[in-house]
Amino acid sequence: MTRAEDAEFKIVFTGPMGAGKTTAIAAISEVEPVRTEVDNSDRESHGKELTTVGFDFGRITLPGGHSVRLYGTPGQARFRFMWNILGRGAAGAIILLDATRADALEQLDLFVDAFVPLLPPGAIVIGVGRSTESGALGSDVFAARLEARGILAPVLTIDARKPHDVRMLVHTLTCILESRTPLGACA
Amino acid sequence: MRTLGICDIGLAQDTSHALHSMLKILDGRATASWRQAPIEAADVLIARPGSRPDLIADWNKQGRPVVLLVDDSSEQPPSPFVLRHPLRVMPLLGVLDLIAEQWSDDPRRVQDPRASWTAAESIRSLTEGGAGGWHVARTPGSHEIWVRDGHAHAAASTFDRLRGNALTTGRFSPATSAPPTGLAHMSLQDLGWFIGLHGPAGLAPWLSRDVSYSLRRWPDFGRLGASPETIELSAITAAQARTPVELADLSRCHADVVHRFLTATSLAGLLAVRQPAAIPAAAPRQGAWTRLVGDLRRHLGLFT
Repeated sequence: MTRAEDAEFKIVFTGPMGAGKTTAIAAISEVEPVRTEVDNSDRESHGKELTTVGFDFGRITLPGGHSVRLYGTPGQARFRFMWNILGRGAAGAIILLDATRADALEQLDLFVDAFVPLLPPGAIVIGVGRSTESGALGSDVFAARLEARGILAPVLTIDARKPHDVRMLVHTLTCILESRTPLGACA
Repeated sequence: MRTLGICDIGLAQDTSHALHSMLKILDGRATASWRQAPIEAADVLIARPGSRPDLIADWNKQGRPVVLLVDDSSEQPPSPFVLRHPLRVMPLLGVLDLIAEQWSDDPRRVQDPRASWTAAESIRSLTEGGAGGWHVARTPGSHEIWVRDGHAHAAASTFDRLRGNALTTGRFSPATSAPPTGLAHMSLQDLGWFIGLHGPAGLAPWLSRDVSYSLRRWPDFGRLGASPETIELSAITAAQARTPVELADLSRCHADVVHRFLTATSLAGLLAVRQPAAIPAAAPRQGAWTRLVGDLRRHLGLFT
């Protein structure tokens, strides 16, 4: 592995405000995530107290000494310039969505449109939270939306607070990455 | 209609009488005509666990069906055919119909329903044909799964057993009554996933070794549960259509695992037969990069 590749091995967690990006990174990072949260001034979009305005950062160090960097993007579209900065050179992205939001499908489109051009082919996984709550959209609805656009990507029902679910998202992404390299499938 | 003989051993006298009465009630309602018979003329044995273990072992060895009547259905005695004490008509009908369905050309033997495609075939038929009305599969162990309008209904504990691969289902047949109220439900596609994933090991009769298969949609592993193998196989078939042999070679999974994955995705409506355009591969990476991805997956230890 070259030094450049080593420096660029990163996974991006993205999605709208309140979808669980900061929580997801904290669930699997071996270090206390670096957060750039401020008071949420956009209570119309989401009622939470704090929101990310720069990025979140976490890290996983592997036995061979290499590390995987986990970046969480800000969720608000006005910080879209950060999405381009963080998404460029990423190994893949995990888009987290809130299934109870009325505009959940539009959010899916927004983040897919923003990140797919920045990533290796197919290197995207969708995690849908709060899907068991009343009025929530089922994961099949999100999958159908992608299908209608000719995009085949995993849509997984998750709870971003559970490390198991976050690991499942990352595991799925790693299998996609390996299945699309010349060296073939997962070992 | 085939006539089959059933012999009870080790049952209390009142249970034996109850069996006799129930066989009369079932006459004309069951798939086969059932008669009580002496051991030498019996086709099927119904016994309490522990009674005549030598005889039961001998029948099992010959592939002849033995129905075990247990006190607690959470027990998993060594038979695919289990009823819970006290004996009741509908569970008895379910097991006897299951045996009659599995009856092979060899009149002294039945297939283990775990090796049969009847459940998968009937789910596939219901999914594709959209037959109206209630259909029901009554399983060994007194469990029932009801199907109608694209949804499956059963006790929550029955679905738990299905998810945990602790339930063997038979054919779904038209029901003459409606299910009890208050049942849990799941989609017919999810039911098909579990029946396929826990079904027979061979390639399903409607799939072919010479055809390339690809995913048209990923399984929702958050809802269905995941294993490393099913995620890997999904990733490979999402990238490009593969034959079953290619899939086994690429994934290094056992052929049985590949076959069950293909059956499950097929029954869940996730599998496409047509050859899709291959998604372009990512830029070539060094071996170290691939090792890093593998290291990350092992480090996360999703399934350990």
